[in-house]
Amino acid sequence: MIDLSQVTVGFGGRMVLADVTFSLQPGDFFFLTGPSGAGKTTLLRLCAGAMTPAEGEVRLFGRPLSEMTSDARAGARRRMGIVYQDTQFLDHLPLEENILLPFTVRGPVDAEMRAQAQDLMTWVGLGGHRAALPPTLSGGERQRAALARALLPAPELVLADEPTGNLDWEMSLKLLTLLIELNRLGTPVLMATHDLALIRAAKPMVNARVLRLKDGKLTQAGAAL
Amino acid sequence: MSLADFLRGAPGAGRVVPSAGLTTRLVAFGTAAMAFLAVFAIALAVMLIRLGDSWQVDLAGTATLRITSAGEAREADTETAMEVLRTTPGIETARVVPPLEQQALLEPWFGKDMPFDTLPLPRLIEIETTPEGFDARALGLRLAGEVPAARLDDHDRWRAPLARAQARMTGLTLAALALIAGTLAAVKALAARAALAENAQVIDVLRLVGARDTWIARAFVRRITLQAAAGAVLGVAAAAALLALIPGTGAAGLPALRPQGLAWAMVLPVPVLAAAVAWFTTRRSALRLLKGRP
Repeated sequence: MIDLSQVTVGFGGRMVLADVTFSLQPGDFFFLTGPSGAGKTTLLRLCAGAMTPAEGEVRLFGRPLSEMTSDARAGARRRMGIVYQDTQFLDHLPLEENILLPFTVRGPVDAEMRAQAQDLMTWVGLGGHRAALPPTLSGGERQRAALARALLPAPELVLADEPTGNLDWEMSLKLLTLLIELNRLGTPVLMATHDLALIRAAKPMVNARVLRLKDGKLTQAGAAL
Repeated sequence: MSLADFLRGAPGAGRVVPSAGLTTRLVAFGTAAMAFLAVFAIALAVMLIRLGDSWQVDLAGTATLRITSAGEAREADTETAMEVLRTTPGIETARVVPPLEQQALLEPWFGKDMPFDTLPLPRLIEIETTPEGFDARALGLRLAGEVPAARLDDHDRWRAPLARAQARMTGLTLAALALIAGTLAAVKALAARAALAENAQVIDVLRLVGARDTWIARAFVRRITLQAAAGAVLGVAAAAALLALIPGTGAAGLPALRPQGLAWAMVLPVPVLAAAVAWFTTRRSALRLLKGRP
């Protein structure tokens, strides 16, 4: 579904990713770890087609990113559930409208979609915040909302950058369980996190692999947890 | 994105762009100012056309004959000239301008105290022509033979420069309108650029959830175009109100700047044209900028 082949990315003369090869296929569950600034977000943005590498090839759903038009990239992103670390919202829209955005950009939003959004918001503990504006929410609430928005359109794969960074342990486990449940249904997940406890907690529930990014190099921390 | 798509609007697209942005307010103000100026340019053009037309109509059906001889010869020449005019095809009437009327014509220029009776003023014969007019060349030749002191002025030398001046002024007014439209287009291009820069986070979020660039552009274009149309309506209304306050008759023989009758209809398309310029320019700029954005 996503293939990175010998990808190199640098910013301002600093090498962020060097000769990275990675593939995300149906059923995969990857944890992506590494110190801050190691390039986890860059790798996720590459996978989302939000940036292009200086060298190497990125393929999204079998198509080379370099040959995709902006419309084609948008089409690919519609098949993904993406959560960035800096959870992005339209600050002037109520939370429910923000969560419905993946549907809004596709066409008219009907009552069924709205009901799905409300169910998901309730599940992540935001049922009482439907009319709240994003700036009034805490960091943890925003993260949960971002995950709800990413999962609402039933994506074919999930890319999540530190989705539990601001959450308490209980909520982190709850969201992790949701991602694992999705993975069991065949949805591949690539989740960047520095929370080793969370990775250990996932061990009994999923056959996940741990990737480590350091000095621009991607290595596999072990065949399994 | 067709005009029909634009008018219908993408579902939900209108809400994703914050409405209270400085750019959108400036767009409305800038368009109002341009529409205001456009209405005055149109009113000026209409006034010039009316002025030129009225002057040409006044001059077209008339001619003047001057008898420059002095003393007793003047009366005899005037008689002969009147006889010639009476028998010339194309001349409706010919009238000797009385000395008092002639003085009245000159008084605004020389003052009342000027001793007109001591001046060697020529005798004037005012001619009105039939719609077909007369053969000025043939009349000139005949007068040269029978009344050498007669000078025929068929007003052509006044009409030609007047027509040229009218054409130039109308051209200048049209150029001013084109300049206004160009400025409007430039303002809209800058507005699109500013709106996209102002809403970089909005674009990032929309792209994150899979919005196509045409959808994003439509949201911005619709907002800016509607603001432009609203601004243009206000500008036209303000200009029309101001023009309506100007007296309907002009001073010193000039027609009034205020449009008359159907001329008012000429300002009605201004908001539509302003909105069309805004739509085209904003759409083009927005799509180009989005394409250049990673």
